Amino acid sequence: MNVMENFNLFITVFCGIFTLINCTSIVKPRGIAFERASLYVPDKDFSCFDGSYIIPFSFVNDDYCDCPDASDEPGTSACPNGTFHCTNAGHTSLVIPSSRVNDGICDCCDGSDEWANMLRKGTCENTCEELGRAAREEAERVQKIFVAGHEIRAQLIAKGKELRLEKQNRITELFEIQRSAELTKNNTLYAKETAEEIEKSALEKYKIMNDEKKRQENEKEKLKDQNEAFEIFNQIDTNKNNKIEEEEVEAYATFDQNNDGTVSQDEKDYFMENKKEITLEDFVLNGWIRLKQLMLVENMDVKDTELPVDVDNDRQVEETEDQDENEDDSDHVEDDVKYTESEDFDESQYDEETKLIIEEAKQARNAFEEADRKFRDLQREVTHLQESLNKDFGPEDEFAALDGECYELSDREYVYKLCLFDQITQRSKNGGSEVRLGTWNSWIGEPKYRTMLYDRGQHCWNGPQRSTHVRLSCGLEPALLSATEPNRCEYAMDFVVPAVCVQHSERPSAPVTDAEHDEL
Amino acid sequence: MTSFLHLILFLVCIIGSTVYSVDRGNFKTCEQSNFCKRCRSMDKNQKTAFELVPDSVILTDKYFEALIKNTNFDDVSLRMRLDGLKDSTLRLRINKDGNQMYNRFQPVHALVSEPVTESMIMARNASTVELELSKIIKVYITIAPFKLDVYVNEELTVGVNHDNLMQFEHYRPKPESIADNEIGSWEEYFKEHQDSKPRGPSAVSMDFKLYSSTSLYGLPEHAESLALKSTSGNDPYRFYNLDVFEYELYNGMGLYGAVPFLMGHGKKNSVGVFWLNAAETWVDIAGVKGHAEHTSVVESLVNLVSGSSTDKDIPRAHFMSECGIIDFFIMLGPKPLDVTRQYSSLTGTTPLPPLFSLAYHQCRWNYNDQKDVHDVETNFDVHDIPMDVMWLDIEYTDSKKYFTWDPVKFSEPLEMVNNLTSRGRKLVTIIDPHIKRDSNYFLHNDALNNDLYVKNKDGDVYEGWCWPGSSSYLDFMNPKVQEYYASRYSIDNFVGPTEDIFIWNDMNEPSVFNGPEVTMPKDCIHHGGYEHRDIHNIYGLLQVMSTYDGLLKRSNGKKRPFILTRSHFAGTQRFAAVWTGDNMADWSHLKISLPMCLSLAISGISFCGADVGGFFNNPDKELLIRWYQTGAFLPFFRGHAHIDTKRREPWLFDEQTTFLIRDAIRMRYTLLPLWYSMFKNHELTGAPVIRPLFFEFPYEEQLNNIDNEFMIGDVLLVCPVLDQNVQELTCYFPGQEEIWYDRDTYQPIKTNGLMKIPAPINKVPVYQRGGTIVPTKQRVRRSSVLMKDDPYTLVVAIDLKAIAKGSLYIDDEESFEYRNGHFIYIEYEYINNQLISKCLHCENFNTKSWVEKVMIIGIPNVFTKASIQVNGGSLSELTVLYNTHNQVLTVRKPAVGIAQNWTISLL
Repeated sequence: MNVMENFNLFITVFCGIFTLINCTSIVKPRGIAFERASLYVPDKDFSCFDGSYIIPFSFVNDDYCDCPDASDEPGTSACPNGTFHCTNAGHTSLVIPSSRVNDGICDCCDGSDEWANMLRKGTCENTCEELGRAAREEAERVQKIFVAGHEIRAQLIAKGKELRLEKQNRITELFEIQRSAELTKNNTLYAKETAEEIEKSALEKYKIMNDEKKRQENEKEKLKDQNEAFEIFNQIDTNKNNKIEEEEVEAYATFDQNNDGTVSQDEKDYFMENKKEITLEDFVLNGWIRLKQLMLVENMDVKDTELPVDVDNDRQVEETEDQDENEDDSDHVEDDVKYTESEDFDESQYDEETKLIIEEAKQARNAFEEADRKFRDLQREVTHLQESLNKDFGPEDEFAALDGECYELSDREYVYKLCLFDQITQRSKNGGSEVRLGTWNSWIGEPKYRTMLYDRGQHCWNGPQRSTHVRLSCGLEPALLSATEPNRCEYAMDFVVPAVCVQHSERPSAPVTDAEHDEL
Repeated sequence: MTSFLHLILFLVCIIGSTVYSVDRGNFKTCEQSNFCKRCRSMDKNQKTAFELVPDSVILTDKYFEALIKNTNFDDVSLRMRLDGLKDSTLRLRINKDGNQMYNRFQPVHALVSEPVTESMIMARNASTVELELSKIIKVYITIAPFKLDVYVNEELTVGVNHDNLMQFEHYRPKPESIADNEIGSWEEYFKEHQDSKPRGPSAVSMDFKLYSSTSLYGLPEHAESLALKSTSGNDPYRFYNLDVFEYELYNGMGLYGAVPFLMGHGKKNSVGVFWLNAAETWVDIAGVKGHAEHTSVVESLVNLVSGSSTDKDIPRAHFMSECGIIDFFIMLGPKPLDVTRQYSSLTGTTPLPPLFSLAYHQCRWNYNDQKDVHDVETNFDVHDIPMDVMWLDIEYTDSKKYFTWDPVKFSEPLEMVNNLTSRGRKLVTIIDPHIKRDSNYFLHNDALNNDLYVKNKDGDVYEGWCWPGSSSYLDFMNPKVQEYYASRYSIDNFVGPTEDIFIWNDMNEPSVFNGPEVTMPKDCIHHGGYEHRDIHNIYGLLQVMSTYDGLLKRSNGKKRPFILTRSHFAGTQRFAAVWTGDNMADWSHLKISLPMCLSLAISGISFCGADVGGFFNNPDKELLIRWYQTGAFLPFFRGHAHIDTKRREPWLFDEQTTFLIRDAIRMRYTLLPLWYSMFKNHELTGAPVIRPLFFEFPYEEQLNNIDNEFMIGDVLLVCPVLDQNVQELTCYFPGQEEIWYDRDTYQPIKTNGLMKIPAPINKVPVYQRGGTIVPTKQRVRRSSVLMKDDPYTLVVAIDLKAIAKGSLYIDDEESFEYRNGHFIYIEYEYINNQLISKCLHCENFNTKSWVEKVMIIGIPNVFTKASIQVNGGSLSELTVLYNTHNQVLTVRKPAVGIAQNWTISLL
């Protein structure tokens, strides 16, 4: 066994130094690219690249780390921060950390990183030809998509430019229309105000009549209340001595405010205002009012306990609020509401003339509303167009044609819907309302125009607002490929679209590994 | 139904993140736990009711036995048995004599085997019985009042019942009418929960005075400093295994585990007390310096004034348990390592863990699917950070049904595992003890059909609420359950043909979301007729025993299991590693991880760690870096995070963060040979792998309260940065004749005492003790398995006499073959300018590893070359290189097989 051990060591040391390449006399140290082979001259002492040490050339690749910069051990795992270069003939060459040399795992397709193990067992087969072919085929496929995609992209750019022009023209046009609409609005406003003025004075006399009626009704109400008070007083005053005493209060359950079954001294004192007895007069003036409050409080208590428990309700409220923020036509309704106070007026009492005046005022109001609505509609359209023009549809407007287009992806649990430059939603297949995963914000990250940020989505329970990163890559048909939630409430989507099929030195971003993306 | 479940989970979540620390109201105080209130109110100044019956005394060659009468109850007598055990240990058991209404539970599961007794010599007079054990130990038993004085070398060391706090409540029929002050003995309410207590009062208690000690340690698990504090004016330390949500620091609240082992330490000697009881237990501590939180000023003043009284200064402990028998061990040291050896001969040591489990573990609740697992693994390689184990939390299951896989997200578990193993990595999956009540779940149906569940007080299957919703709990007290559960882990029953999945047993206190104190009601019934109150603290131990058995059987006893458990008890170390549970991403929680693991380590459980980064909340990059730098030096090293936190894998911050975390993890991997050798030593001797400083320097009193530093074995001193924004920190360097060498710069420190150390963000203050030799592997690869054949670098740090010693243990890193002698054990000695390698056990194991480098630190620049002689053969010359900046001499490439005998001479 000892002999064997030494033999292995010997092999390790011997093989570590050189690899013979083909049948020529050129010798390069293991783990070095051809271009750099000249830095290693066998018949001279070796100088570490960082100049720290000069060592005999026999120390190069002898499986012992002499140079702090690892330059003496390109072919072994001896240096902690070194690298190993594999040629991978037939495929692309690769540089791996030295720690992957001879660790039993085939990292290079030519197997050169496992040279010690290869010699013993032939662990790693050379798969470069096969992999290289597959890689070339894949590159070709991607390239094809790329070329085709690039053409579509050109069309998108043209379309984008066209759209921009259209929008600009439309805005100019709208400005014209808007001017005349504003004029109409102002005219109808004047007509409306005049008609309402007339209407107001016509209704004045009816208002006076009505006020008198109300006063009488109040009077009646008061009398009724007093009668009620007498009645209650008599009810509580069981011994009929025209006074309410403590013992009588005790028997009356309404005074048991905390519902513990007894009317405590505190509860009595509250009602009796610390007095021993209450006269009828006192009761009508004060006691009755407190008693009514007690009855009211009792009712309200019941309501209170019901309200805040239902968390789902709260959530919905919150969601509606969220949505409101994003609707721009929520502001103009209220001032149009109160135009007739006549609800409690009996219209039949109006004479014919008054009726006519009211009708005219109504028509004037309608005319104004109509004009106002038209004006606002125009205004809104202009704002939308301007916003749209301000959106960043890429350096060449290549995304403009996709504005507002929606794409869906369905997985086991959810249907995701991405509406470009607008918003992203998620709908559970088990029902329930849509959840907004984000609203368009901006392009982020490098390279530019490859990742979209949609944020300010619905709040997570007790968490942040939802947000989504959409990663774009080149494809012929726009399609949503994947949707994941790597962090709670932070979503990530992959979306292919021809708009990013750019032919720069930059490689097309087709099948990127998620490894890189998770770090966003 | 499911939406209701979601609502509940959602509510749980809400509560989860809006409350920032524990809701103490969910857990009992001593006052609310009736037996604790009863025991604690006993009067020290009242004579004890217990007296030895002189005529009953018997001494056999194995034990001493006698009756004890309770003078308050003429018809009740107790039987005590005192065993003298080998290695300076005593055991005293007291149970009722004769029949009793209910069996009292004895958690012998904690013991590794029946302790070996030694014979004693007895002498007696009218008032005292004297027992002598192995010449140096004498026990004086006073007949009335009953008490014990334990002398070592004629010095009073431990007193038992010196404060008259012994109690033994015998079972009695429920009286017709119950006095007001006894209502709590027969029925107890806590919040909305009733404890029906059909068996009435049954508490036991005993007090101990540790005359030779100045400080007390142990009693894990509490989020507490290493040195225990006086509990007067506060609640006692509590043992009741509980799932405490967002636990607070520095208090005596019961946490996930219970190891009722107490260590007393003084300049003269160290002792241990082990209270073997699985029921709810509280321990009052007094007579020590330092006070638990919330001590009033007045109280401190009282202590100060009464400080002159010497009796008050004697450290003491009062153990109170709700039921069971009085059963305790006293270990008499005399040194800390003697006490831990004595304790571990009772409860066992951790079997040598498979090497991968000492490497780095990557966990998160949850990696979403098998692709996510693969991506994370790949990223470790992309960023060249070593990692051995990927972990899956509860979401991998099919609807929280353990032993199943989510059919979509984890549809190809075997493929996933094989992906990992192709890089030398492993998978750990979580398996909790609650079982989903689902008629389509085989395990639930098996459990119902075979009567495997714990019952409620009415004899029906107990139902509680946990992750899956409505759940029942396997009764691991039942041998049928143990066998059934173990067989769930077999290849046929779980995932298929792989032995590379290991197990994480969580929530095994057991956690019951809607139970009293988030656990099972005490009046539930287990196999054998025991109540849950009898066995509560060993429920988790019983589960890991079955899991261990299952993993062992899975490989026909060949491969070493690895299990992580949250709940633990004395003896858990024989089966599983332990972590400190659901901590927080906060500097204070980084800091507490040291005393929490040190307390566990001196109490037998060395294999301990804390969630790196903190479980709840998001650590900033500075905290995360410092946590990795610290966690890399605790035995169990795992990054973990709550589902609501942001991802925090090492590459998700910035380049510097990735770089520093990579450095910390790599440092761990270079030291794996040391860790492995230390664990081997632990298995043999019980010596804690990580230790408080006083273990190595027992005479140095200044060390008694230090718990922001620790030692790995007797070799490395770790003084990690535990605070924010630190550029400099103060470390204490122990020992008067010591040299400590900085592991980065090799600069020597000869100071004894405090010293300021520069500690910028890239600095991890770790020191090698002069006089030691540390075996390392400098070629850090993707996982530890891939480093198996790699060469070693020996780091020799000489002491003041220019001498150093060390050792190295090697085996196949995964199987039990080492128990058949298939291992290598080497001792190194550096003396007289020679490094000598003696392979003491080398015949039965082959390794390809060799010695690539020897570094000798702290020697003068007088040597120009070296020679090596292998197996007494001829000399060959070696090159040396001396670095004058750090006084390190490097011997270049001895290139000798590690298992050879050789001598390197410096010339």
